Amino acid sequence: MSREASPRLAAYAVLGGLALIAALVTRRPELAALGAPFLLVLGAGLLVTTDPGLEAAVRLDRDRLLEGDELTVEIDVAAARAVERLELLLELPAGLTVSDGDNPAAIRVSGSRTVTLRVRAERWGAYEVGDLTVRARDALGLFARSGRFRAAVPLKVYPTRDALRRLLRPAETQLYSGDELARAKGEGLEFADLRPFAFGDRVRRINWRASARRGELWVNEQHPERNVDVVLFVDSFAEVQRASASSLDLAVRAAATLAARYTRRRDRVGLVSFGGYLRWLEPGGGLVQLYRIVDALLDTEIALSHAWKEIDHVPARTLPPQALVVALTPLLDERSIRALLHLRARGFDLDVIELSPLAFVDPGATESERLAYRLWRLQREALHAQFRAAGVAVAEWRHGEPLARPIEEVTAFRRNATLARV
Amino acid sequence: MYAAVVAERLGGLLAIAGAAGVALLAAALAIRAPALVAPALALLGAEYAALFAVRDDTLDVRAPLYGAGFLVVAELAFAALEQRAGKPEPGLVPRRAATLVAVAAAGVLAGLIVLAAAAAPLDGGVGLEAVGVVAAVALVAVLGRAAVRSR
Repeated sequence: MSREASPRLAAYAVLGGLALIAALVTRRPELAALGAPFLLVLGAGLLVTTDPGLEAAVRLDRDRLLEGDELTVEIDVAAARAVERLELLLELPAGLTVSDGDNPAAIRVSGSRTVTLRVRAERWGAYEVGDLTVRARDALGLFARSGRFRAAVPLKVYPTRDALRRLLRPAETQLYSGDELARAKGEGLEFADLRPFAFGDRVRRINWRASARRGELWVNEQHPERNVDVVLFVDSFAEVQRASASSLDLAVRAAATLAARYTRRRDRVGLVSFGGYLRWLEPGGGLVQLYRIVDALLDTEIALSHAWKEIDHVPARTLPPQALVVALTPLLDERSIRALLHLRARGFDLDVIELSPLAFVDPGATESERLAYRLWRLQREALHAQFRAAGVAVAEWRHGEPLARPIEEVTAFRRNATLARV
Repeated sequence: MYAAVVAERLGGLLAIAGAAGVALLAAALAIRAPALVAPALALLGAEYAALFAVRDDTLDVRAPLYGAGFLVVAELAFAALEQRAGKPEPGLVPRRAATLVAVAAAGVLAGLIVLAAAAAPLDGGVGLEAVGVVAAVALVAVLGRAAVRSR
């Protein structure tokens, strides 16, 4: 801990010394009496100043929580010698705010004390909490000792998830059983069609009513329930931001929601974070995969990069054939737009949920700014048309709207559109 | 301003010096300049010292009170200018006030001891005066050195 002297130290020394010298020069003891209190404080302060031997630690009542939840932070302080005034500042990262308690706090410490704060998680992210700045003042206020304690307690704040009535259905399913009705016919529950009996068909599959009507044996065919592979493509090349909201927030929230919903129904979900840092997670299922994805999302950030990345950099196993690729992108960076069109050209079943930058951009005050804004919107509409012409559903998701809206829009597009071969 | 009030003559001049000291102190607080507190108090002290030039040789027994008052003013001024963080917990401010009262009381006592020592019926002389000068200079030097080393 470093020690710093208060400005009163020099002031009292000067005043006391001047008073003594003046008393000697003028031969007046009153002037010595005038300076005596200053010299007394100075002497006493120099005698009593010692290192208080401070120790501090930070504890959290939990290490993971949801956006908007609160946690209790306890700061344990111990002093070998009593500290008359100890100022404590817990440095909280942006995204965490104190909802109850004083930060900074000023307390008296004799032995050990615990300061309790309630902290609210305002934004998702992976944080380290525990950088503590302390300043201890002695009883006479002549010296202050300050220092920092670094605890770095990890804290993960998961994004809140939107409620979804239904999910995007891929064009093709995979081999394992799941909850998605396959287009193909096979063993399943959902009725698909009738066909004449063939050698090897099980008796319980015979449709007796149809057989009686046609005079020969007919059997039911069903659609099997299969799992699907979903790859969430998070564009982290660029983001638009206003106040506390940003397009990256929307992307992370949507990805967490979709990952949770798909993994819950035994589908395999993968992640490609395509941006300044290219990262991927191979598709997998279950709760462990969900946490892997959410943890990867927490580390997602916009990193400025001029590298021209191609989607070919992503390992083939990360993008399995017949996987549904759901792109979460503001469609602002040419590199991600090109990568998405490239994916579509390779035959991937692609949907784009556009994290609309429109909600974050003002149309402008002057006529020329408004004109530029209109041109920009026209360019964006042309881009949407380009994707749609390639058979890719594009739905805008604006800040403040439920995620269900773009999902329904994409579903409606897919219902009416046929897959185009580009 | 005590000096200006009790002075038998040149009270106006002392009042101007006192007012200058008060104005300097107010300026120090207004512009948050702790470095100006000591000159302001020195000016007020000079006003008090000037009092002895315009009055008789009787010992002013109120000097310890005046010194303690000076200390309280200085403490409050520095407390106002100090960079403090955090809302103090209940009990912290009363403890600080009690400490200030105790220090002021000790200052009064120290001043009274100085006056009592000055009034002691000792035979003066060059030797004793030299011892006093050396003691005063040594005290200031020791405190100054300790203050510098403790920075």
